[in-house]
Amino acid sequence: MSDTSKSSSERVTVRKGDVNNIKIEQCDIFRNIVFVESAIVEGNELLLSEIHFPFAICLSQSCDLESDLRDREKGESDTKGNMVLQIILAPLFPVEQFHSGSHWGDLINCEGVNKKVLDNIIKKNRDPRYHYIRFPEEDGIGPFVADFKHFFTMSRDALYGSMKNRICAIKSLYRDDIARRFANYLSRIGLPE
Amino acid sequence: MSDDMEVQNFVDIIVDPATEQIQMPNAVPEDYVLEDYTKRPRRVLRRIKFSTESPTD
Repeated sequence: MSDTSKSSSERVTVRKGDVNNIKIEQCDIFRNIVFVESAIVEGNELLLSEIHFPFAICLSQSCDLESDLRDREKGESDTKGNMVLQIILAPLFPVEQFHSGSHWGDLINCEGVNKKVLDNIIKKNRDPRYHYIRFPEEDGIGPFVADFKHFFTMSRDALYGSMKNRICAIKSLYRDDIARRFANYLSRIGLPE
Repeated sequence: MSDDMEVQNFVDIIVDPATEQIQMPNAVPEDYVLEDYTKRPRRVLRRIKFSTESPTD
């Protein structure tokens, strides 16, 4: 496997037991995420509505994800309620799609943003609703725009079952920034004009 | 070191020596294709029928 990592971390072989320590971290980026929008039983049929997101970012707190995994691995009874049922995610859109307004496809009609807004507001993270994520060019992914407004949750077990779809993690400094901005967006207060 | 194995995964698993946390670097999967950028979110509706027939001998 070619070494494309620019991380300063050292690559080591991993003991078999450590493979089970692979855990989802806050701001891990996934592709091909299937979100179950609704499941309705009608007679002898189950009507399942899914939304397939090409890209999504995990926004659940790392401490919650860690304590969930720790308690499950230890097999402790869930007396402290640390096991999570659902993980928070938000859709990620390639910036070109977001610029043109075509990023939601047929699901939601959107207008594009002009270049001035894109460069001065979105890309500088001055709009609380969005977060612009840019990767080093050599990584070959992104850049993306996360839309905090349309966060959703997904079954914890289902997301762990989709680990093969995890693209990458984000370094801790940038994770903190994304987490803080998401929290700020959710805690905004709308005032009458 | 016995029982070590190099993890064969679509992304290399590495350990941060500072924190001893297993991390995923910003390395893309080998099968990552640029076509992903043309995809948009889409709704998929599925209709699943329950079997109401009783098993027969």
